Amino acid sequence: MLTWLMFLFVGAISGLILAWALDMHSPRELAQGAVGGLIAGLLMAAMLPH
Amino acid sequence: MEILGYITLTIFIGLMLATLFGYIRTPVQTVLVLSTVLCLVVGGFFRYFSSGWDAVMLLPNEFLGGIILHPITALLTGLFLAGGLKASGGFEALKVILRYLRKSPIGLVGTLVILINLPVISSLPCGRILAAALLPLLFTFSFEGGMGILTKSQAIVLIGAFTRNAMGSCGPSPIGGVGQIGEGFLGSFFATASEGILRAPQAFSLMLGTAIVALFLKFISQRLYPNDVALRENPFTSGASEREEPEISAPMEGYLALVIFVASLLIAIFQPFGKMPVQTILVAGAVLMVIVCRVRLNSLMEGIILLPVTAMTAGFLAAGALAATGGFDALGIILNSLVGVPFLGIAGMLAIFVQFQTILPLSCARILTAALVPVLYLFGPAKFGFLDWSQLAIVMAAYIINATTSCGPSPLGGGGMMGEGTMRAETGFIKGAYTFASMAIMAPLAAIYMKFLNLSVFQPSDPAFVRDVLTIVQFTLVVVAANVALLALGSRLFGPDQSRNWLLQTGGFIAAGGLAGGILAFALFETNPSAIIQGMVGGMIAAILIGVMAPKVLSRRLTATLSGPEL
Repeated sequence: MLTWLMFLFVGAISGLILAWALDMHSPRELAQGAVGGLIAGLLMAAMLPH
Repeated sequence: MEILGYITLTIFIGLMLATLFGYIRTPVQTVLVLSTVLCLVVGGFFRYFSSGWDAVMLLPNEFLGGIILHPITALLTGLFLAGGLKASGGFEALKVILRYLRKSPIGLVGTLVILINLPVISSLPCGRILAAALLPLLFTFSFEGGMGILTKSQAIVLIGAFTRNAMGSCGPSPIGGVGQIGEGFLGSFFATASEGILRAPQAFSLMLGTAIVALFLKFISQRLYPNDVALRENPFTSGASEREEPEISAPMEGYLALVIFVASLLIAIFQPFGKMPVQTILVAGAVLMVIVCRVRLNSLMEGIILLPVTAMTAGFLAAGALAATGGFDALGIILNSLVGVPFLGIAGMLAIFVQFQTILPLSCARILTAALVPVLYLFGPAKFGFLDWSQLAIVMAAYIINATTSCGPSPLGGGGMMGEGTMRAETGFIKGAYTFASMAIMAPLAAIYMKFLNLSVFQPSDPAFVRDVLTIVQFTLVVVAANVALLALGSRLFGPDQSRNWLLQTGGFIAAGGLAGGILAFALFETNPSAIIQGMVGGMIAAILIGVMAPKVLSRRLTATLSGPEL
């Protein structure tokens, strides 16, 4: 459970920073970046041994 | 015998440095084989004169006994399966799925974030596989690529970040990944280490490191080297699509292959049908692909990229020769002597050691990892006793992610050059960004993740291993905030003088390196103030060595390389 939480957290932070670095600065774009990161984090956590 | 170890170690490091600086212009694998032969010949002579002919006869056995076959066979079968995916149109199917995602509520930016992290999620045994398949797709997002969706700066950030992620994804791969070399050694204590004890710390830090690379490319690299990317700006508008999106389609076999590939990967990771070697599962998956998707065996074989395989084999050969001739013992003694330096100590020495492969980046991380992980292992209870098993696992996590990402910034045919080629950049454009993230973000956060969560996952019965996610969150936020502030400050201070800009960048490296070394020392020795200071000093020394290797001017450097070194 904690592994899932950690990867959702790091995914969201990573997505937010990536969106900003890609010059996507509006709140909607930043939210989309964070959601993209959440999905990436979720998929990554699913691939890990628990 | 001690002097023999110093001689063979000098041969190995001398040849590696000569290759890195362009004095030897042959593939690094050839140089490693040369190093192996030289070490064995010198070792043979020494043994003959010191212990007689019988000692010489034992040398080949000692040399071959050090070669570990498991990662090599796992890598070969992983590439075999990926070859099937490529041959059957699996990557085309992936592109179609990504196009649908773009039209979903997560939009373009959410899709790009998933795309950038796709390599670490799929964790193939070599990042070049996915990079070769998807970099052309990323290029099409730029104006020159046809779609014109992204500006020049956005395309640079997208391609650079994706390549960074790809060239670190071979570390946490369960199918012949670089991390498996370290997991093999940790298996001496952690019974389930081979199930992937190093995977989560690597993936965690790589995801964040990728984001920092994106910021570095935006704030620093594009200002430090403003004229070294030939990608053109969209002349119509910035951002909005002006052109027709090319139609992407995939055959049914591609979708089937993608399903088989993902299923094989999941079975290899989670072993739902009982314990069996990953190689068996991957070969079975590949055979299924041949039957179901009608892939030719030749196509599967074409998927095997020789570079990582030969790099790994050559690295193991060189490591075996060094081990048999006492080279690792000599390296251990040298590093042991660093421990005696008052301002370094164990923490400082380890802070330098974990950054070793970023200081000396070769075309494939496996080369030096195969040679240096045995040395790191000796720091633990097995020989020198500097670290207990949990501390060894923490250092191993930091070392492996730093090592595994080192093929990205390597100028010797490193994976990052694929990204530089796609964004039409001079060689070395991405080096600063890639080395900074490996040093400042990935190594310390992998150590923190291992200490505060992963050890307890793999050894739940031991009450000494805590599960403290709040501390991980705090450290992550502090590290990210500090490095983002450094990058933002650096970009504000940059001016027209490139030498000054480069000096500022090096200063940033030193500050971030100190922070990384301090955090690593904290992960190992907790609140021991002298250890933290020693770790910071070690981190700063490593950062200086990494920072000065980042090119000051790209075009001139490339010209100098092409016209030959001045001996």
